[in-house]
Amino acid sequence: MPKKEVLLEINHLKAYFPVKRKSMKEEKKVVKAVDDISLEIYRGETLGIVGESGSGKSTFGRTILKLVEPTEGEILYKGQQIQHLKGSNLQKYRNQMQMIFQDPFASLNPRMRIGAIIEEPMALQLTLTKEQRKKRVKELLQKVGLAEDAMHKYLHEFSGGQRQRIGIARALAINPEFIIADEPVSALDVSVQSQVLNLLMDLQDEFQLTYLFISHDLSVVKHISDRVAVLYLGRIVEIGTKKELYANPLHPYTQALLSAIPVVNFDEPKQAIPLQGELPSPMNPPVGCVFHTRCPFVMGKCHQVRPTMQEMNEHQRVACFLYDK
Amino acid sequence: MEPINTQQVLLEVSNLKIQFQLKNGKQAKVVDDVSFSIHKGETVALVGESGSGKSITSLAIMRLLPIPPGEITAGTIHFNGNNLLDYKNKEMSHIRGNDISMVFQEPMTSLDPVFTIGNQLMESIRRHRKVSKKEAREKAIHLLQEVGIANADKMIAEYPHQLSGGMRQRVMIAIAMANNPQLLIADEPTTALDVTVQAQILNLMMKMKKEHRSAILFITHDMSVVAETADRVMVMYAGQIVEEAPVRELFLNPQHPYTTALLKTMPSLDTDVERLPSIPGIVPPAYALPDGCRFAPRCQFAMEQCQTLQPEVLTVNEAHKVRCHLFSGKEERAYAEEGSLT
Repeated sequence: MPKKEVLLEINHLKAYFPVKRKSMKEEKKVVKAVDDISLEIYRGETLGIVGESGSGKSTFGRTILKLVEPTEGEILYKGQQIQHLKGSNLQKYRNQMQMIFQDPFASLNPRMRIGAIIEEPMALQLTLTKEQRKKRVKELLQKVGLAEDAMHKYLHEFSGGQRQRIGIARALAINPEFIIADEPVSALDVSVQSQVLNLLMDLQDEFQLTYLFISHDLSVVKHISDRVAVLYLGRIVEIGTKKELYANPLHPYTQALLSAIPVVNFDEPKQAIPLQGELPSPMNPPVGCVFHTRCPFVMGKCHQVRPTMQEMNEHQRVACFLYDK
Repeated sequence: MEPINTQQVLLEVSNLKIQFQLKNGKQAKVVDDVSFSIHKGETVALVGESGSGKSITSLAIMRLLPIPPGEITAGTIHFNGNNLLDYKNKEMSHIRGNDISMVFQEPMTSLDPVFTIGNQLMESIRRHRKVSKKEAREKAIHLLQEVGIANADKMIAEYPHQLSGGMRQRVMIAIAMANNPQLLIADEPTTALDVTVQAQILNLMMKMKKEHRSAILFITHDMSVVAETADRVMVMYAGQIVEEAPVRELFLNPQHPYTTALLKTMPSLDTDVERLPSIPGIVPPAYALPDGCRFAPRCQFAMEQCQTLQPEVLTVNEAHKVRCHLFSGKEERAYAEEGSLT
């Protein structure tokens, strides 16, 4: 692989949400949805973000786009700080990134014709004439595998998979470099899911896109990602290349997640590491390591001190005391 | 405890046809000529994509279909030898929640938000058993403990919104199991849950099934969940069962091109492929079904007769059935030689 260029660098990103109090005497509380996340995304790669619901993976994606205001930390896009951008400067930054959502029926306007839905981001940019935009809509529809006459129809006339294709076409309309896909295939049936995954991968090759792919489904993430970060209660517990992370998961949470996936294997019964309980509330995260309440290898230290990320090898970083040297 | 006689048929659905009258005047054949049986103590999975008719089939068994617009146009559903379709509504309400009970995908919508979970548990117990409130309460606490809810005597006073998704599903299972049903219908019970919680709930269901000696009809779209839980699998496509086999046989020796394709399109943890094989096209809507085989427009092995002639259910071996022209006559050998889907 050629030398990797960092497209997006995130340092100590935090997104806290205040919790409504019943009275002013009550202590101020915050939900730490994203709590001190640092990572970098290289140009042309797909970084998968996995975690259970409530782990902060969607908020993390939204914070990068500044749809959620970061509480603290830096976001560097091509080396430029963007967390303070406002107005037209922010617009310029956002022009280079787009988002694909889980439910296209909720994220796209059902009262607009498909052509208008796809054209809208271009119209806002004011760089193309009406004719050019029309032409581009047709091109985009074809790129995502839909017929040209789809532009005159409405959203309800399409199936789930086709709607997701429309969502993808809209995201591609202004030639973004970076796409955040938030559970783009979770609502789809398996046979359609693979069509959309293949489409996303083809488009990545064609337009040299960089993806941040958010999903709770570890098998889907494994298929599409180059690197994977595992989130738990707003923190990254492990990050690594797909190959290393899946072959040799280090963090007990990653191990448990992987072993919880049902597998088709009739010959050797799998060795499941059952996790007790559920994700604790992010309003009241455990002191020390966030995972210690459910960890099968919990030690005394885990109750008091929060482990920091450490580099295990070239490809993998983990936040766990089990690997302290 | 005497052993369960697994040879004995518990539920037998024969030639079931269900139609829906659409507002635009069209008829939607949602379930078309579906036949299957479930033996006592058995776990049978019904797999299919959305719109394949699997949930409608289960609602018909529970007699919970909205009629109209729905209509059962043909067929019988025998439970312990009696046709459920002949029962009056009142008779059916003795069976529901007692002999057959159901767990749904979204526990928040199937639990009543204005009653405590204890209330709802006790209701289902007292509906079918003559017990005092106190006894029902004790039984409810016992059931909550059984489904792994800590502090059951306190939790009994909680409302559904105070519980997490996994907890709610545990409560649903407790309610469903309250009267030791002979058949539990589980409609996508873990689809809305996270993987680690899904694993817990699946383990719990298998444990409850053993203890309460129930049979399970497990409705899901997830093939890997099927592999871990079911004894037998039925694959449904566009209102018909296209293949039925014991779980191992279905995974290792699938006969229908749709089953094969479904198995191949699952992204899996232990294989590495550049591109996922995918099935082109979409499931046809139930009001515009193809004349011949319903899978023909998407099937890579489709032949001329598939376009015009509906395939019959053919027997591969005693327990393995398939609805596909490829399996009849000489195509069978050609298909075997050509190997599986590429």
